[in-house]
Amino acid sequence: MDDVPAILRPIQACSRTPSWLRRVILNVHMYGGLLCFGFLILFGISVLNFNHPFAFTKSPVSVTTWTMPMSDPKRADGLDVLESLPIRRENNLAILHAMGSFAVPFTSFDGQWIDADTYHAHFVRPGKMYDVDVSGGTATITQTRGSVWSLIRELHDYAGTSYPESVIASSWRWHTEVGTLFVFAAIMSGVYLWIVGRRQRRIGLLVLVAAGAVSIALMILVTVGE
Amino acid sequence: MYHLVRKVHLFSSVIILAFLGMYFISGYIMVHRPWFANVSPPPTTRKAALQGVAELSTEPLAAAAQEQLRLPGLIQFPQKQPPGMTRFWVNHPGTMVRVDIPDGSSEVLVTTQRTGWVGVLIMLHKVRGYGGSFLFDAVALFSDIAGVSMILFAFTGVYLWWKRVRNHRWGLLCLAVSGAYVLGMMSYFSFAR
Repeated sequence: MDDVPAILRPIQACSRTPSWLRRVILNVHMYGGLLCFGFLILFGISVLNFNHPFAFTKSPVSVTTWTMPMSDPKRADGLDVLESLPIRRENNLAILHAMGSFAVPFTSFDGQWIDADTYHAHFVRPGKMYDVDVSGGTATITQTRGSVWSLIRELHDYAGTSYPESVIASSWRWHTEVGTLFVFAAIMSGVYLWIVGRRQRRIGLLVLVAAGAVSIALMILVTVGE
Repeated sequence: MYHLVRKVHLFSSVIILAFLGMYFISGYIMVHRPWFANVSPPPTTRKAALQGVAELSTEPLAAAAQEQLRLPGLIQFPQKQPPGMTRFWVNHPGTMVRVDIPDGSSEVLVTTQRTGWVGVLIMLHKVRGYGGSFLFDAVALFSDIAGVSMILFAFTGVYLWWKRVRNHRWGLLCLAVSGAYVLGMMSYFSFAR
C-alpha cells in the first residue's frame, strides 16, 4: 500500500475484489479487446492516412460512365432552396432506387436542376461516388471508385452514416458504436487491472496525467488561439 | 520480451485514453448529432477584395486569400469545385468560413458560420494534416501518436493474450470474427452498388 500514489489509494481500496471477479474482468478485457482488433487497426490506419495523404493513397481506381433509362425527376419551379428540399429528396431517392444503390446524397441539400432539362445529383458512400445527370428519360451515371486507401479513410469518415437502403451497410455504424464502447471498456478494465496490480503504477499514472493535460491544453489553445 | 510488450500495451492504452478521449466523445457526438443539436447563429456574409491573385492556381490562391483575409485555421477544398469559381473553407474550431472567388475576379464572398460547443468538438475531431500553425501541427502530431497507439495496442494485446492463455480457441474465434467482419465490409463496400 505504501508504494501506491495517494490519488490511487481510494480506487485501490475499492478494488479489493475477489479473484473470480478479477478473472471475469480480465476475460472481458482480453476477449472484448480481441473483438475490437479489426476496428482498432482500421481506425488507426485511417487516422495516420488523414494526416499523411500520400499521392498513392488518393488516386481513384476507376471512373466508369454509363447510361440507363430513368423517369424524369419532379420539378420544383418557383420554389426556393428550402421549399424544394422535400421534392429534391424524393427525386434523389427515386434515382437511387432506379440505380439499385445504397449510397446517400453528399449533403441533405444535394440535387438540383442545372438547366431546363437536366437534374444533377451527387451521391457518396465509402468506396464509391456517383454523379448522376437525368435528362429526357435517360440518366448518365458517372461512378468514381476509390482505392483501398480511400475506402479505409471513408469507412472512418462515414462511420456515423445510416444507409436506409442497406441494413448490411448500416451495420458499420453499429459496429463503430459498439467498437468505441468496447475499446473504452477494454482500456478502463486495463486501468483497473493495472491499479490492482503492482507494476508501472507510478510511471503509468504520470504518463496518463501528462498526456491528458497536453491533450486538454491543446484542445483549448487550438480553439481560442490563432 | 513479455514484460516489454506489456509495457508498450499499457502505455499505448494510456495514450489512447488521454488523446482519444476527446476523439471518442466528439465522434459519438458526430454519430448522434441530432441528440446534441444546438442552435448556431445564422451565417454572416461579407465581400472583400484580394490583391495580386489573378494568376494563381487553386492552392496558392487559397493560401494567399487566407493570408490577406487573416483567416486562422486549416484550408479545406470541396471534392468538386462549383462551375465558374474557386471555393474553399477555412475551418477553425468554432468557426467555418467559406470563401468563394469567381474566376477572373479579385472580389471574394466570405461566409462565416459560427458554431456552438458541439461544432467546436466536431471541428477538433476533424483537424487533419500538417502545414497549419504550430498548434494545428501539434494536434496533428498527437493524432499521429494516437493512431500508432491504436495499432500498437491491438497487436500487443494479441501477443499478450497468446502468451497468457493456454486455450486459444475462443480468442482465435474473436479475432476471426473481428477480422472477417472488417474485411467483409470492405469487400461489400468495394463491390456492391
